[in-house]
Amino acid sequence: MLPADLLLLNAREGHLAGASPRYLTGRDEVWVRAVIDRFDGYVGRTVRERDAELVDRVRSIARDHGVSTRAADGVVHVLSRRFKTKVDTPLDPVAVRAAVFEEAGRDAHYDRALALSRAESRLGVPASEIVRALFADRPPARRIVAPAAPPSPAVVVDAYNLALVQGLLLRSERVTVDVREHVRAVVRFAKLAGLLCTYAVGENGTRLEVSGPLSILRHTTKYGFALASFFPAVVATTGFRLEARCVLRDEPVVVHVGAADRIARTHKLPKDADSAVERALARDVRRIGGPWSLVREADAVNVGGRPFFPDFTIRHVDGFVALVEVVGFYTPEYLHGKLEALRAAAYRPLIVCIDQSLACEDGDVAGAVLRFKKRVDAAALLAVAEQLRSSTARLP
Amino acid sequence: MSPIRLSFDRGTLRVDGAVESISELVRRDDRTGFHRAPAHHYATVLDACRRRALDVENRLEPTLRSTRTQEPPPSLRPYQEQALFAFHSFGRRGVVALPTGSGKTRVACAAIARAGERTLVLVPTRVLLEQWSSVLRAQFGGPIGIVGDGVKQLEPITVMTFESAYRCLDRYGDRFGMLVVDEVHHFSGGGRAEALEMCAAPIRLGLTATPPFPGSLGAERLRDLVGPVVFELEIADLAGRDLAPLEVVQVCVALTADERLAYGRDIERFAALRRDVLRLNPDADWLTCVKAIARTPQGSDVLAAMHRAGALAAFPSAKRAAVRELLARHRSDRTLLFTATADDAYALAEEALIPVITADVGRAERQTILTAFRQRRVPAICSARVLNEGVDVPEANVAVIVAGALGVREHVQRIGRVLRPEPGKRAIAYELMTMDTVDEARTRARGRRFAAGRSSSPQRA
Repeated sequence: MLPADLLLLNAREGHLAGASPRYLTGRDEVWVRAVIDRFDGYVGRTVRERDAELVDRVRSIARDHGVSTRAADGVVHVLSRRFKTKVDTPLDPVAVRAAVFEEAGRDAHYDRALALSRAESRLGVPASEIVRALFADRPPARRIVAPAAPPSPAVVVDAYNLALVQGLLLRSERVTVDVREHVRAVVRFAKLAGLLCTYAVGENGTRLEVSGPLSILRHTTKYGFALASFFPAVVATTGFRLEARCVLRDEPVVVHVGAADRIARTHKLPKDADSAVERALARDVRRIGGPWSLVREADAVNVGGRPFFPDFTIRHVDGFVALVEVVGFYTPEYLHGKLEALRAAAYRPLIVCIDQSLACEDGDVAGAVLRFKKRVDAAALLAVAEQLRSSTARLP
Repeated sequence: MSPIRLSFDRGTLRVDGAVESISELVRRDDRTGFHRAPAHHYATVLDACRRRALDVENRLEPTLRSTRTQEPPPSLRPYQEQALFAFHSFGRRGVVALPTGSGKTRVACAAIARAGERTLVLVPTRVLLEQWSSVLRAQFGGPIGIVGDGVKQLEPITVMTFESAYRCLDRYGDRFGMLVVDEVHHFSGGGRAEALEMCAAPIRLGLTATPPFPGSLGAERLRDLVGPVVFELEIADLAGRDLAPLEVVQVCVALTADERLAYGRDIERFAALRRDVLRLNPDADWLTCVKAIARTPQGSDVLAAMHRAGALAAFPSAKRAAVRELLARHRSDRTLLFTATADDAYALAEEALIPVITADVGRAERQTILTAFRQRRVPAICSARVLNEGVDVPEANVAVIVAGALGVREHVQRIGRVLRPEPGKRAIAYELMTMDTVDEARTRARGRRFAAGRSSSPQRA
């Protein structure tokens, strides 16, 4: 996450109200490569040496390429986490220090050479080695190690853009996210981070409002970190849109981020835990084509104050949407709970595909029922969806 | 009328039921459909309900109430008894401000023993985490919980770092009836104060040697989070009787010719730009000037030059020589050296072969160093900031302030390190000052404010 002074924004018409992060793009990869090469040149040297020289050198690269020095500083921030360091001595610095300081404390009059020579005999290594090892484990004294493979400019640009957005979210108190798929996983990530989620049906999938519990009382920083760490889960979905309300340098800023933005994808959402029946259904609908599309977990429904995530959303090109739930073989308790949830969710067009082997009557189930044996008939599902669409259109 | 139900929800007080009777204290949360108040207002909300004779179903009560038996409190000196009395007189919510070394921990132990509640003690550093847990273990026996420095164990009395509190009191904020905050002045500003907002403990005691200025925003913030300053004494009130007698000596040093040249070159670049800013905006304060300079094309270079000049003035070769001289003079004493930066501390340590305590030093090594110091196996310890606050080294009798970066508050804390009373002990604090530089201006400014709270002015050497 980039620190506040390195956060760059593109203001809209001179205002920060609807700003977008000033991302690095493919054009920046040229100078980013030069920066990576500079970094690489410090492999084998100490962090202190690198920190003393590198910033000026990188800024000079930025000036030569006509880019912001703050963007260059941001790239340094991202890159410095990719080059690991090691303690450059075969001795244990903690043991060396304990021996040296104790020897130095023995004399009534301090004599550095005498203390080191006693430490030399005690540790059995030359004084020069002892002095070198004394503080070799301090972060600035560590030596930089070559990474297994140097990061490519493209990877660094993506990582910079992610760190830029996360730096902005760190200073936000609430975000609005439109998610088109994996809503359940995204909500779970938000909840794991201690955030509160509300959801509504939006034009572009499900609209989630994510914020910390304290945000209704006052602006807090605690949940800024949670919002920033939850963001990679959003980036892992396709077609997302995010709007964040931030406070940057004491000024309110609304930041927009979208799926088209070039941002590193560091998270993988859990592989769809759907059954073979669900996977086959999704594939069959795709093959049939036409005006209908089936999207996995694209919606959340409020059921008694808790979210319920139907398996699929089936969407017509004219905007009509129905929820699809596939009920396979489950325990009687699970089935009972599921039917309860479906009854509560039936205020929206709903198709419930039920395994013929399940002992439940059509009357027990809310919504349109489609029975299946082993495999849901995709054409039959589309027919039911079409019926629902027509009946909704006929409603006054 | 349905009763008011109070419970804890993710760092806030959840309020259900007939909330209209206390509507000024709560806010509706449309996201969840119930009302919330900051958790630290629990006592206020409960008090309002009682005064209005409202029926309350208090679900926090069982988690806040103690399962501890009341232990006998430790014996206290008269001024410590007065501090405790003042704390109780203010409804067991308030800040006790006492100089370092005067036994704030002892006052807190007595307050914890008398309250008999489940207690959470918050401390700023890992060093203090260890120190508080040893003191509490010695006083109360039994397991003492620790949260921080890689440990997470909750007990009826638990010590937690500020950082851990910030991270996890949204989960544990309802587990303690009493909150003790060491070095509470840290919460007079900044985002970490949210940690205290998430804790519902109705009994709240803050400890500090440097309370915020009365009437300041910081003082108001602390009043809301912990309570008002209920008792305050300064070094001058206790020095020589309940604290070791103190002598402050200022040691003036000069830059070498080469250093003066480099210093002048760097500082003049900054001064020239600052003059330009002041010409356009004569009322601009320091921060405004720095911000204006940062926005100029050469701003970052000029600010870097200013930092370089400041670093040189804080630790020139003459100060190194002075430290060598002072360490030799006080070889048989226990000396603490304070520098402005960790780099300067390590430079001194490498030259004088004395241990350093900084944030980079791990728990085990820190403990080894403090033990060696107490056992007189090492004559001095060097530090930049970690030793500023709370670390208990009663044997130390000499402080060498090589340079400071955080003003009079840091200065008071540092000098306080050598004031813990011991039979026959006399404390000396040396302030090193580089003449005709920003270091001199800084040292004089904090010296003036420090002397305002003392009976005598420092000597010059």
